[in-house]
Amino acid sequence: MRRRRLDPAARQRRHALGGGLVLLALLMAAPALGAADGSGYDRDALSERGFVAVESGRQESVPGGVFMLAGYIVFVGLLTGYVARLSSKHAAAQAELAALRRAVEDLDDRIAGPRS
Amino acid sequence: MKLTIPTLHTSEAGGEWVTWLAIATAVTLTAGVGMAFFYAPEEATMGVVQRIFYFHVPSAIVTYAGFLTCATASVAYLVTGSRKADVVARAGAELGVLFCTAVLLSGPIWARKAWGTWWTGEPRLLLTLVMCLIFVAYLVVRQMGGRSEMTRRICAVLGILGVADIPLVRVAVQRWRGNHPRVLREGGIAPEMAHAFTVMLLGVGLMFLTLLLLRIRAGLLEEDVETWHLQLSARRATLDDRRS
Repeated sequence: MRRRRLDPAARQRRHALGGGLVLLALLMAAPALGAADGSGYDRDALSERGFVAVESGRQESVPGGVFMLAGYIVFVGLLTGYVARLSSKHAAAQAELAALRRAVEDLDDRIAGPRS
Repeated sequence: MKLTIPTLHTSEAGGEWVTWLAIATAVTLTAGVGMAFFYAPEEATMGVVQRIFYFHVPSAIVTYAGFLTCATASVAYLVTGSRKADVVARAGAELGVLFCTAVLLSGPIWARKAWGTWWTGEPRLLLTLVMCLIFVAYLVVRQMGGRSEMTRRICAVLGILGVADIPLVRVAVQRWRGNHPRVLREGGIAPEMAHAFTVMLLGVGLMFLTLLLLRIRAGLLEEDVETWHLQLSARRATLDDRRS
């Protein structure tokens, strides 16, 4: 069976809807993850309201380096992805604009032709 | 005689400024990340994971900037009907969602180590999530609704309503006993940490400005494409009339 081909606008709308739903699902999944993993919840840690610098050579007992690295990777990844998307969008719009200009000029010539 | 086509002529929005802003952003962010890792000391209670703070909080601040840009430009669009204002509103919303997503993803990573859980029903977290979802809805409506006047107006109203969440997010920790630290207003931060944070805030702010200008430029180009499509259709109709 042949698949029906969608026009570019419909395809764009479908992609936007899909992207929106994926983002929504990710955001909605966050509270569920938190609820599922509440075992290590330490209320005493919440009493701290400020950041205090370490004075001696004390090391943390639970390594948080992986979490920190994951945080920075998420941040850089998001921004890089956005810049790449923006760049391709810009290039596509410029190419389309150039093609449209040529098409309009061509039609202008054809419209003006018979009169001259 | 050839007709001139009215375009927004703004594919060069920001001009050379964008290049200089991008360079300043790269320099400042590199310095900021360097300071966050090698200059600022490790935090006593949370340890190394606290270094997420240096981009998490600046991202939250520019999230507000993005959504406020959207709301302000939306008001301008509703008052004047300017397409440029509409493009600025969309750019603000898009960047707000981008940085808000960074906040909502990096926050749980930090919280897992600091609070022992990925997510909790803390007022600021929930209100930030709601705010993000409002502007995600804004972007989905824009994408699905095309470029009609009705879509632009609906989104402008949505953008103005969505920004009303910001004051709630701001006061959530004080009013409803949230878990978020209040280090910036109450002076609970080591001086070296404050220096690194200031540089990172500047860097993320500059990055926001650069991306905003680039997004506005792309948005105006898209508007020009729309105008040229209409002109092309009009000329085709003229040609068809002549033939018949």
